[in-house]
Amino acid sequence: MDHERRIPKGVRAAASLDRALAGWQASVVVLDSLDPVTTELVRLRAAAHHDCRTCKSLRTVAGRDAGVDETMTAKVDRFETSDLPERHKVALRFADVMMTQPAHMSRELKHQLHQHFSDAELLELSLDVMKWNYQKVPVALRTDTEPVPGQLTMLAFDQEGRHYFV
Amino acid sequence: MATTRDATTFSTGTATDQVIAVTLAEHPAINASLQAAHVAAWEVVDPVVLELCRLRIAHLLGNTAELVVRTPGTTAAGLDETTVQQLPSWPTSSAFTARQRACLAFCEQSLIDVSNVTNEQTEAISAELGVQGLADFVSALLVIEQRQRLRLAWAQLFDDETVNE
Repeated sequence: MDHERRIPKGVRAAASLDRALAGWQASVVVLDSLDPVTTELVRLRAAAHHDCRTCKSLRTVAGRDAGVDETMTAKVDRFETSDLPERHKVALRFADVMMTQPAHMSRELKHQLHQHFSDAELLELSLDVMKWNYQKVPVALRTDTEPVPGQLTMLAFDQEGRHYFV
Repeated sequence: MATTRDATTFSTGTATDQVIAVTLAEHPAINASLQAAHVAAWEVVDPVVLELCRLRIAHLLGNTAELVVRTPGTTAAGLDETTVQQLPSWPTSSAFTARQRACLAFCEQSLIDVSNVTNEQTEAISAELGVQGLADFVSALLVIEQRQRLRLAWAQLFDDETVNE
């Protein structure tokens, strides 16, 4: 696949929009109702769904500290047949629906979501999926580079929700 | 370009606005930041092009409530209802300009499978809007898409009766 950038380096959306999008993402990432394992698995599902090279090369510090390892992350692609806990499978089903046809959420999935998550967690889960979906911009513009080519990079966020690499 | 909008009052008047406002009532910072992104999106992109894309996204996601309203300012900016009626057949209709076609083609591909957006599709937008215009459009489109996906999911998760109105 051709990964040549489609816009020159340094070209970003207009400052007002770029700042607003950064602010929106930061405001979401500081939420803390949802456990970091679910957050990380959903982030990786979004990364795979949109084939974002940057996101696929990242691992969150919060997820790692909560027990996410490469054995677990390898199960995300085929999660339905994996031994991941049902709670995580439900979250990944929801992420798939949100990223494809959110109007077609089944009653069964809706029931599962309410069975495994509180309303606060569901709100955060849905916001998380959309926050990670910012990746559609760099994927479309082919600016989704790996921070360290060929290697995994640890991702963390400060108290204001700004990301940094460890 | 659209004129400057007031982030506290700008609304497309759709069920999406209502669902987002109600769902995020206890999260004013998130609501404000999402609203700020929405306002910024309409300020940096040709409002007629963005409105056509908003409506096309609504078609493809089954977000019917979005189809019956028009974003303030878009009619005055030149949005034509005859063109809107032909939106489902934009690839073959003569009602659409080259700029609108380029943006609608990208919109559909990005909505369904962003990883398979082609060089030709982004180059077509650059040819019409310039490189900066491409960057602006791709980010603005994301905002429009995110809001509709959130609305559709939340309306079902939290039992909003307007989901299919």
